Amino acid sequence: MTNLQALVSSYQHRAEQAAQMDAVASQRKERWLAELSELNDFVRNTLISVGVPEENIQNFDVGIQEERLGRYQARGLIVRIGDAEVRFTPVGSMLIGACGRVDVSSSSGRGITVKLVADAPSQVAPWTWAAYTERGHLGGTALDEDGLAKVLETVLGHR
Amino acid sequence: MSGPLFPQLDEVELWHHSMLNGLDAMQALANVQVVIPRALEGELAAQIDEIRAFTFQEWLAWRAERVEHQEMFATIALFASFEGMLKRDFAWRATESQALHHYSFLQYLPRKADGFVPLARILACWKSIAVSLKNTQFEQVIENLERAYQDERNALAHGNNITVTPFPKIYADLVAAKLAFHSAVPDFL
Repeated sequence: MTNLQALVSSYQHRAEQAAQMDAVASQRKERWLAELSELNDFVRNTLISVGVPEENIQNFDVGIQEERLGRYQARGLIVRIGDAEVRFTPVGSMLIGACGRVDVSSSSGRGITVKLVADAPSQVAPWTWAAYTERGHLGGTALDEDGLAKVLETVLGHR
Repeated sequence: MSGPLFPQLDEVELWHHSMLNGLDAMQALANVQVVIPRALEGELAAQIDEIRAFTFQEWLAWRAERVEHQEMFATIALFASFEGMLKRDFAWRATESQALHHYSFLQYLPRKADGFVPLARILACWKSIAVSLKNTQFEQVIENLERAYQDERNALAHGNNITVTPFPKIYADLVAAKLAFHSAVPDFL
């Protein structure tokens, strides 16, 4: 291979690699936003089923900037329960050892933020969400109806 | 059978760099965005778990705080190591059996009943010895140590220091002070 051929080949290879990485990042972003939408639906439907009026649950968009994924909009939820307002704010998908994170906070309570953290059991399986009131994964609670109750108890300061 | 373990200045420096290397290894983990194995156990698992689900910005802030704390702890350890060396030398030098050796402290330091002698008094004794030897260089070393323990070490140990002391400078200063002791005092431990 001549020097010129090597140079051209090297630049072509780099461009191909960059295109592949862009495609992977794009897929990751799509997956994250789809899983986020599923999470929002779960929260919305669960709360409606236990008596929260539908009009008390609103969407809001938050701008996120992440390495590889770039700048994009993600959808969060604002839920009014009684006098309190609870926000489910998407944080991102390019995280250490996790696929996605949504922080839950409230205007009332003691200012505690609960982290909803997603893991991917496999490439194809749906992400699993768990709630953490402290840093780390050691004390997480699976995000089912009971888990959601614990999340709300924590952020609302309810005993 | 090995004797008691006294951490030396070089060992403190090695420990300090090991801790920083550990953070660098975690940084590599943060960069590659890997999925953290569930099978991890023990201290490593707890450490890794603490940063799980961090964004890169959160990681940077967490790491900076850890580096700052590590600098403080390692600097305190340096001072403790040097103080231990001075006190071991004192204990040896102040005994009756060593009274005929270089610079016996018996004439300077009548020991209290509990045997405790503050570091400040030991340094004050070395300063009078340096003056009596007309060794101004050694005297300056002692004065620098007195200042370092008063201004740096005490502030760090009592939590009054809001700025991080540069570890490399304290390490270099204490290594130089140790050499100065060995140079001025032939039988320094």
